[in-house]
Amino acid sequence: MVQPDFHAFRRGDTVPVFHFRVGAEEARAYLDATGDEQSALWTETVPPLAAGALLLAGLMDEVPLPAGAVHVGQDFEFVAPIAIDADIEARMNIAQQSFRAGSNVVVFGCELTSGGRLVMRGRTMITAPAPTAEVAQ
Amino acid sequence: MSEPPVVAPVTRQITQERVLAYADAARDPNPLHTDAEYAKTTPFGRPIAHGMLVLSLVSEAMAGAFGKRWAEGGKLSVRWRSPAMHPVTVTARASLRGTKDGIATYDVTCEDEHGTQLLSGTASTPYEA
Repeated sequence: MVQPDFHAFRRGDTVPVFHFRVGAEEARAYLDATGDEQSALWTETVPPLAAGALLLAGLMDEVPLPAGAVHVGQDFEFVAPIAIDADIEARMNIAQQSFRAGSNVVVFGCELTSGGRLVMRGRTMITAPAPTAEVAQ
Repeated sequence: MSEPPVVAPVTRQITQERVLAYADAARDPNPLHTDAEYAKTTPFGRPIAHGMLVLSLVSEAMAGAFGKRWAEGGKLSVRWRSPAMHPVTVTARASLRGTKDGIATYDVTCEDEHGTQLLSGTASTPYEA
């Protein structure tokens, strides 16, 4: 299957829908890695930013990022708790795209649902050096 | 009407070991964070910590003040301002900007031990029972 090209994205395009889940071991690994001292809160539900981090991992699986890509901005709205090991469906689109100062700036919008319920939404801003043809315009 | 809580700062050392553990836990394979030789080829010149790892301190601070409610209506909006060159000691702070309709909004920052701002933005969450 041909994967989407980061530089070909334009506003309104969509990323293929993907699913992921955060199990107890993954949540534990995330909390240990970050050193989170509030880990006792997250025994039955997913640490909110763990879901965000694994959302981005899923995005990178779907859309290989070009060399030099940098994550420069992030918005999250945590709408409802996500149960450990629950299936999460991620729907992402291109909310904004522009070429600025030699960079391609892409803003991915996302909505996560679990059990048919909206649990999180957000926007992820990634910049990467623009292709030469776009810089020349 | 109750007052929103003070959000206590969170300080943590981000080491190479922590970055490697985070790369594994978050399934982030970007060599910019883990491969010194690759990082030399980038404008940063050396590995940098994951922005989401730095941001995790803000989420931890908010959860410390609001508990599980943070996952039930919390909002974050941040921009990364400078790379976190590890090893680095990062402090996340949140100062109350205002309240409206039972939502408390805080200005949030992360700084390194030299006072360099690594990220800034806002965090908000419902605070009334």
